[in-house]
Amino acid sequence: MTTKLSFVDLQIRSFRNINELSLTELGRINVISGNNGHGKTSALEAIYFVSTSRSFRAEKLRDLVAEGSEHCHVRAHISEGGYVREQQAALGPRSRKLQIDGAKTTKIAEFATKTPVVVFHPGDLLLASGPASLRRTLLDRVALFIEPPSAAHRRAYQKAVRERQRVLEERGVRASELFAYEELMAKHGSALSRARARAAERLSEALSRAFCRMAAPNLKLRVEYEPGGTEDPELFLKTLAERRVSDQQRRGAGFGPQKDELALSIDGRSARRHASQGQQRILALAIKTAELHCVREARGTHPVLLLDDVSSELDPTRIGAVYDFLRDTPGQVFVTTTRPNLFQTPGIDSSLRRDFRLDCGALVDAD
Amino acid sequence: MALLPDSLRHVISLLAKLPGVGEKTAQRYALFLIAQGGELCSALGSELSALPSNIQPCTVCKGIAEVDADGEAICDICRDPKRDPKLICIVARVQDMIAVERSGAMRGRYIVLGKLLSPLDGIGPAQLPIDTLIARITEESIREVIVATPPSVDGEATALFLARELEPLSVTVSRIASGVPHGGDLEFADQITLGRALDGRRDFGR
Repeated sequence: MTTKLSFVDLQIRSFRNINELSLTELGRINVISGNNGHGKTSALEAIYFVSTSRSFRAEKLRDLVAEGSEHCHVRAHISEGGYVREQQAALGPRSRKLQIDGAKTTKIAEFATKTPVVVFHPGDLLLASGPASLRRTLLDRVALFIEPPSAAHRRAYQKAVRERQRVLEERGVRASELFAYEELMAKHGSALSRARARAAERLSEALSRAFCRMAAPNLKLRVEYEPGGTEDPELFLKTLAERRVSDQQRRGAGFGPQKDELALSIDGRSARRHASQGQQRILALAIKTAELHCVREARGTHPVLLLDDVSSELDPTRIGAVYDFLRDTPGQVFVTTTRPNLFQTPGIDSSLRRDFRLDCGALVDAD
Repeated sequence: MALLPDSLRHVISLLAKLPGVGEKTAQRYALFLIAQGGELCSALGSELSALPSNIQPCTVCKGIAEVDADGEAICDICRDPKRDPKLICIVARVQDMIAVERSGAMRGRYIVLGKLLSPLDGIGPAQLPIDTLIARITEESIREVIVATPPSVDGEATALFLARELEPLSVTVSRIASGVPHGGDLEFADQITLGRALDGRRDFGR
């Protein structure tokens, strides 16, 4: 059974270029318009932040805090299955505070799976053609929902990798404490590989289906998880011990899930190298559809979709594919656009649509 | 013109060095002390200045001890004759020792490491009191060492490292389990803790 999930209202304070913004009576389709640099993407980012405790575009979370402010704060009321809860996320100079119905939580994975959101922003158009790290992040987002502890394994693994590397570089390949970090790498790294393999399997089915529907049906997409490590902790540990010298020389660990790739090929040719730009973009859209599908299946609820001005990057036929996608998504949607009049939502009851216009980070009357 | 006198600002900046105390809280404390009058200030002042000479790390376990008339600092736990003399629990910090002690389940004595392995912060095996630990295990013919470092990456790495260092000695080294809190329903346990509890399950020992 799939339940309904939607934002009822949203308050944003000192967030990027938004000083104070309150969006109320949100609808099923929410169109946020305004000129560039007036806070549209910041509003989407705030929704993402209060749902996941993270950002989809900031390198450092600190960047979310408005210039001249110490804290940023986002509060939302979210309705799920008939119950309304309040979620808050705040960022201060030294801390991040997350609350659900007034109760603080430090369990990030639990918080981040509470209100599933899927974002599609212009940077995602590189999902098929860009660096492998984008596809690893994709796998991790899906893994978080099908196996929440995978996020803790990933954090512990990444820390152990850095610690081991420091020991290798400062105390050498015979340091007596090396094995301890390698054991932790093997434990958390193999668990992470296992979670990503499961995520890739789910994603692969949904992705092939979505691509087939959106691109030419005769094109055959193949999705394959190419692990950079192994799911076998003992083999992992053995390999790390063997690679101490080379990892020391190349100043980085050459084995492990940080080398994972989700390989995509169309008719047997690598999508990354050979697909046309149009194919890569449609593939990116298909990946997002698949992510939405996987999160919905795992979480039992329709994720909220955040679409950040994607239409400006696509040609008319592909924009059509985006609209189809919107129509077929039963969940709540937030869209940003510079030209709200061009944003048509055929097939969707106009009473379900709400328009918000932003100017200098504040709400003005939508015309 | 400065809003606050220099001497008061100095007190505030000292109070703000305490953990969990920011500039605003420090100011609140300082103004409170002034409002309370001289008595609390001088009592607090004399107790604080005597603190470093009255209280010192226990010479045996590195916990907290009051310096006695002979100038010796040995804590009550290390002096307690009713403790199991063959059982030692290793903890990272004094706070952790207090937490384990409150559980009432630890009948032996302690060793406080003071730090955990942390290569990124420049802390390696040389900074851990391994020699003291080994000397104590052999001299007191310790039977079991319980490693109660936290379940973080540094805590786990330190535990693994200690276990290997102690391997040549004839002592049982055990690690505290991690799992579901007492009295709680399983449905309220977070996924990570519950996962750990399942990984660390044990049979009924029949």
